[in-house]
Amino acid sequence: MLTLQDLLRTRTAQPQLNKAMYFNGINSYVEGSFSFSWGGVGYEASFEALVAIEPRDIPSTYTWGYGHSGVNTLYDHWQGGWLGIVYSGSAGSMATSVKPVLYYWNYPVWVDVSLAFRTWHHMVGAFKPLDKDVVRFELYLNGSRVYASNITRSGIGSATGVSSVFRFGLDNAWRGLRFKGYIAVARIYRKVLSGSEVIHNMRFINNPVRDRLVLWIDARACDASKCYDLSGNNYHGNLYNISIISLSNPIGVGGSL
Amino acid sequence: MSSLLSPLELSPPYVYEGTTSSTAGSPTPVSIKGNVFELVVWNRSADYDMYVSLDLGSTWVRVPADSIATFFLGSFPDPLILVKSDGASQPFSVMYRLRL
Repeated sequence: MLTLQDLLRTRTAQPQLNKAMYFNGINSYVEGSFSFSWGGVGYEASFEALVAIEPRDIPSTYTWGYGHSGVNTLYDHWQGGWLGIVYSGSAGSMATSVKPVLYYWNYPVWVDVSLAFRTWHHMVGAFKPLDKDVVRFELYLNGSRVYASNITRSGIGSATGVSSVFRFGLDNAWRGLRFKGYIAVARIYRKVLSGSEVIHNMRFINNPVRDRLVLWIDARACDASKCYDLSGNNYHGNLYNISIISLSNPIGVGGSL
Repeated sequence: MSSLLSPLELSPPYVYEGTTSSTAGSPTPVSIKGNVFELVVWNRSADYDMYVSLDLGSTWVRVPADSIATFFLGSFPDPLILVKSDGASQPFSVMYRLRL
C-alpha cells in the first residue's frame, strides 16, 4: 500500500530526450534571426550541438574529395564562430569519413578525430580572440577536449561584426555540402565554456549552464515550422524542409540512432 | 539523513509572475533553481486558455481561463517549465515550494 511517506519520497525524473531535427542533406536547414555582435579582444563564444551524422555522398563534381557542412553557426564562415563537420571520400561515392571543423573569420581547422556515423556526438566549439592576430580555438567531443590551439593570422583577432542570423545544417559557400543527419539540441553562448561546464551540459541536457546563454534550441520544443528558443531571448529558428523525428532509442552521447 | 519521523522541510512559497509570448502559441520558458516539491500554475487571463509543459514541450496540459493547474512533483531538480497561450501576452503566475 502506498503511504504518505512513499509519496513524499517521490522524485520526478528529468524528461527524456527523444526527438531530433532531421536534415535530409539536400535542402534542409534551420535559420533564425538574432543580433549577435562578435569579434575583437574580449569576445568569447561557444557553439554546442548534440548530433548524429548520416552517411552522404561526395558529389562527382567535388574532385577535391571533401565538403563542409555547418552544424551550429553564425551567418557564415566569415564571422565569429562556426561549428561543423567535413565529409571526405572519393568524388561520386559515399563519404568514408567525417571529422569536426571549426571556422573563425574564414580560418578553418579540421580536427583530426573521426566521428562515427549514426552515433550521437556532443560537440562544443569555442573561440576567444587573444590579441589582434591570435584567436584561441577549442573543440570538445563527448566531454573531452580534443583540440586547443592559438591560431595566428593577420587581423583575425581584431575582426568584428554583427551576425543577424544563426544557422544549422547549411553548407558554407566554399566547398560546402548540406548536413545529413540529426540535431537534437543546439546552443550558443557568449563565453568559452569550461571543461566542467561542457561535461555538465552533456550530462544534464535539460539543465544547461545558463550563464551567458544566448540561444537554446531543443527538438522537443518545435512545431512543424519552428523551433522555439528556450533561453528566454526569443531567437526562434525557422525550419526549412526539416522533419521533427521521434526516435525509439533514447538520445544519449555514444548511443546509436 | 531524514527518517520517517523527521519533518519534510519545504521552502516558503515563491511566486513568479509573467506574461506569455507576444506571439500566441509561442512557448515562454520559466526556469526554477532548486528541487521543486509542488507547483501551481495560474492562468490569469479571463478570456483565453493557456498550456503548461514540464517536459520541454513534448506534452502540454491545458489550463482554462482564470484557472489553476497543480503538480505534485516530490523532488524535481531545476525544472524548465514552458507556458504558451491562445492569447498574446497573457498574464500568468507560477507558485512553487522547494524541497530543502
